[in-house]
Amino acid sequence: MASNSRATPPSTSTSGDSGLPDFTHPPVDETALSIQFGAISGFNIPHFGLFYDKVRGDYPTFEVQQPILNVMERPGPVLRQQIGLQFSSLPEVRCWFIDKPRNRLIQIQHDRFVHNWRRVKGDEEYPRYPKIRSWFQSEWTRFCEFLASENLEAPKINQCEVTYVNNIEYGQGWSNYGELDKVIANLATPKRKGNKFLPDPERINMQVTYIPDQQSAGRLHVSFTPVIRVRDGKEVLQMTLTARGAPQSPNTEDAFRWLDMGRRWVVRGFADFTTEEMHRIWGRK
Amino acid sequence: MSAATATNRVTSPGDSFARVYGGITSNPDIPVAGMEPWRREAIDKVIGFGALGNNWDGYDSRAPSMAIRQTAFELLCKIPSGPFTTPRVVPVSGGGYHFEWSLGNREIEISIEPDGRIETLRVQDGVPIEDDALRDLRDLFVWLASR
Repeated sequence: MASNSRATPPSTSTSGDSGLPDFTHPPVDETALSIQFGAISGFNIPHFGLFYDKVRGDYPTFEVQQPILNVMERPGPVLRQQIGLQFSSLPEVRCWFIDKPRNRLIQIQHDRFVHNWRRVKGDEEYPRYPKIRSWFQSEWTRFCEFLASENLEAPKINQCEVTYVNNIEYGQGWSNYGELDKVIANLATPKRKGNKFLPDPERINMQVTYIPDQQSAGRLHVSFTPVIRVRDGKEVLQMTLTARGAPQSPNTEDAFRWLDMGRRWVVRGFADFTTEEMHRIWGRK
Repeated sequence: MSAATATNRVTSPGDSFARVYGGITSNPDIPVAGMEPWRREAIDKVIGFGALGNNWDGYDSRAPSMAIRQTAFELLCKIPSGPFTTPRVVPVSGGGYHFEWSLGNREIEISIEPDGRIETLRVQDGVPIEDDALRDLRDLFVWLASR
């Protein structure tokens, strides 16, 4: 049994945050930290129930979803998603375990562990990364201990992912898609260039990908899409930033180092992509 | 997933607008880019009725709950694309929704009851189809579109 991916206590230091943009009330609506690993031999349907038994005191509700595709960021202009066709006996299931207020959930499948924090009512205060990281660390440790107790192999980590979902509301610094230059930095609009042919955009759908660090195997994906926010029926512009890549080694310490780096990419990318006007509204310190 | 539980669940067709949690996030928000105007207008009506005041019907009814509204959103997003127009949408006493689609001589009526049950009715040439075993959402709307 491999021992290099045991849940050894990862560093809790976020000292790399020095100089990181910080906001009093960022428009964060959901965050997700994810560790992907090679399929665990022997992990099957009963283990979802056994794990639920371990966590149901904290996460009493469960939901079953389709599994997330295995995704690997690779260097070069190749498809980032592997959609492999294979015949296997792996459980095609992903389980959500949700806490009572429904703000936090754990997601597990045979090759993935995810922890989410999200707003549900809309007035919850964003708990900040150190707290979110601490929660993820605790739950990952609990998951690894569970695997060990079931004589299953320790996860061989191959990918880490950090996602932040932000809701940019109309009427706060901007009021229609003709004013997107007030939200998205460096967005040149036709009226600025003196081009009077195009009217204001009806909608926007944008996806941009960056390689923030050529030395690390990872990418930062930024997208804008209008959505109807289900909890209040309002249309908002949803800005999602996802940092994804491979840690230096399959062990937990390096995975957490990568997650910390990915989160710094997300925060810096968010600040770079949005305007100073919006930063003032979000209370940039 | 809404807290209200439907007793006759409709199955999700492949080419619908249903939110599939394919990534690691869990938010149920509905992407609207590329959404058909009829679907968007129906969603707006659902949202509008969510703001009804107490006793809006004179029988002490409240506005549909968030759980019922979410059920309505899920339903509207799961309807497959087709030659449909904006449905008639009305609130139901007790806090539900009633939807009606018409196409030629055919109609579909779908009610989301206050307790979350979903009832469906097909009508052809003005005559309700009794003892209707057709419950799959896709099959209902394929029937409607194939008149």
